[in-house]
Amino acid sequence: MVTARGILQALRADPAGRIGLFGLVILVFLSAGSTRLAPHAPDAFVGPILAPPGRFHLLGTNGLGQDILSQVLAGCRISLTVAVTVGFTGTALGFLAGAAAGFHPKRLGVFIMRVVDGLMAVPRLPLIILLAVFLRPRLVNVIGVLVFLSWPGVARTIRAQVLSVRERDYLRFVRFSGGGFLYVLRYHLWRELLPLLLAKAAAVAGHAVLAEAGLSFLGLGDPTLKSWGTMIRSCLDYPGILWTPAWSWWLLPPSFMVSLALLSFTLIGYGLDGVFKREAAG
Amino acid sequence: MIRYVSKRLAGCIAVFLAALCLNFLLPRLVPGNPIQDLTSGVGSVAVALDPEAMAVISRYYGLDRPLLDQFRSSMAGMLRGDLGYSIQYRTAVSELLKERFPWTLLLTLSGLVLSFMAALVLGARGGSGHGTQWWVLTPAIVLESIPPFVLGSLLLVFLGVHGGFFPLGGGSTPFSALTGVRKLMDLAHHAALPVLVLAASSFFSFYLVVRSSTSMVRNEPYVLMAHLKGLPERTIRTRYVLRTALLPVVTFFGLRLANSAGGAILVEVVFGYPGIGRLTYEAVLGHDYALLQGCFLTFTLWVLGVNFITDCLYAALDPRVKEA
Repeated sequence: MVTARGILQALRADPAGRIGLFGLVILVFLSAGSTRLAPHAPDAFVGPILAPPGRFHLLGTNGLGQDILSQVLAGCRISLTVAVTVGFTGTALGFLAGAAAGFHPKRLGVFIMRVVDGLMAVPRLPLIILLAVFLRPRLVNVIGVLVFLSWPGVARTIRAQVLSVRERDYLRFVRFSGGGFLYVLRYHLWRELLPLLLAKAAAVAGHAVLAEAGLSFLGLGDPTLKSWGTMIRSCLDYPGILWTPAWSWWLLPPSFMVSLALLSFTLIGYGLDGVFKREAAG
Repeated sequence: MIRYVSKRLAGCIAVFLAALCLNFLLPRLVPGNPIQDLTSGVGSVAVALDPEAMAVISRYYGLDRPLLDQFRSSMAGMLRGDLGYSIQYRTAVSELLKERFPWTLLLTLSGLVLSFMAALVLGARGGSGHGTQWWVLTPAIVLESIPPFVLGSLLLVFLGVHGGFFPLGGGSTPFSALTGVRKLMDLAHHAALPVLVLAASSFFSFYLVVRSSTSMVRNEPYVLMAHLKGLPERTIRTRYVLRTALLPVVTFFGLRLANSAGGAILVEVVFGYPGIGRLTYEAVLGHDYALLQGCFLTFTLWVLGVNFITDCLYAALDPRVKEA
């Protein structure tokens, strides 16, 4: 029986999974305490411009005299919000669609897979940019676009799994005794595929963080929020900044944080993938 | 084979048509309209137009006609190769795309080939059962985790600004009038950093695919037979294992090639490289919607085309596909 606790234990036993979990715990801690830990508001002008890290500003200030540490913490909250919402919603939608397509492979399945193939054939980043330009630049819209683009990949994997799982003897028996789609979904597929779902959720969350950072970097994110991508953009846009020492405390913290978030999600996904493969192998 | 190919082709065309419709409908579905944007949008000077002037403008651009009618004329224009007019560059969108596309092609192709070669050399060894290659895997995972635009910015700072080894942006030295080998060297010099970034970002997944593919083939009976015959390890690796193991890698190369064009957008922006990605960004900045849509269509066409060719190539290489 696969339980959430068992998966967590297996993940902690895996070296990659352990490092990933550790990174994620740090991120969750930072974003949960972001309002309490941050010395200033992320968009308040609180000091001299481009002040190096010191007693008053632990990570220095940017070109507008805003506190870098506060911005990094605020960005952590935004990225994690995007990661969690997109990760869960996208995976849940993909799971439902994929399971339905695998369970009714004839008409419904063919229809769903056509939609999935179509959505996956369109280039991702250009489509994200196109949608982000024409919708209003708000965080909700960014999240919506990312969810819309993330479910097909999950659905494709889940469908392949469901197609093989549904032919097992016990599931044949369940269906034969009158267990419908929702019953099988809730009592069998869910437990059977939980590690895979979590691995997919981690991968989707990682892609979402990357896409959000990229969009903010292009200036298509929510203009009222200070996300990591926005920080990197504004640093590179500051004239001549790269020839002064200031880039090191302005550019490096958000770069490091984005990479840490992506690394954590990649490693967790990698570890969970291993767990699923071991489960499947018996 | 022909049936398979025509089926794939039909799928591609369907997706392309859907993309065309999306491209047409999206700006018309969202709130606001171009005339509003013209008079009070971001970046435009606010002018008050009376309703009659607005009606004249909207008639001039054909925005008062029925939607289906507009769709028909825009499709007809597209068939003639007319993608509209860029308000920013004041030229036809198709001209701009034609001029910028080779740059993106140069960047993505060289980046992919570079990481493909590295993955092949390292991955074919890794599949030989010496356990996990942590010395390759760890840096590969870390490199994969740094977003390409961040890696690009960091390399730009370290190697470009402070090291002074590479130019800071652009595709070639302007006003230089170089010829022959010197010109090629100049192009390579400018492309080096972006290519390196693109290669680094796709290396990890390439490596994984090559490794799992080779380790799968390695357990086949015919490889064991080759070992028993006493063939040298080198021959087995290249002639026996790699040849079969390359099949899934070909598909994967196509997949990455298709996706990399979009992924290059951010890298091109960082390095100010004159490709389609940067053009997309400039279109976004300048509210140049016709140009933006042209870029999107180019990307779609590129992805669909590459996917189609990959499928055909795969079918030609692997006899099992034809029967399906």
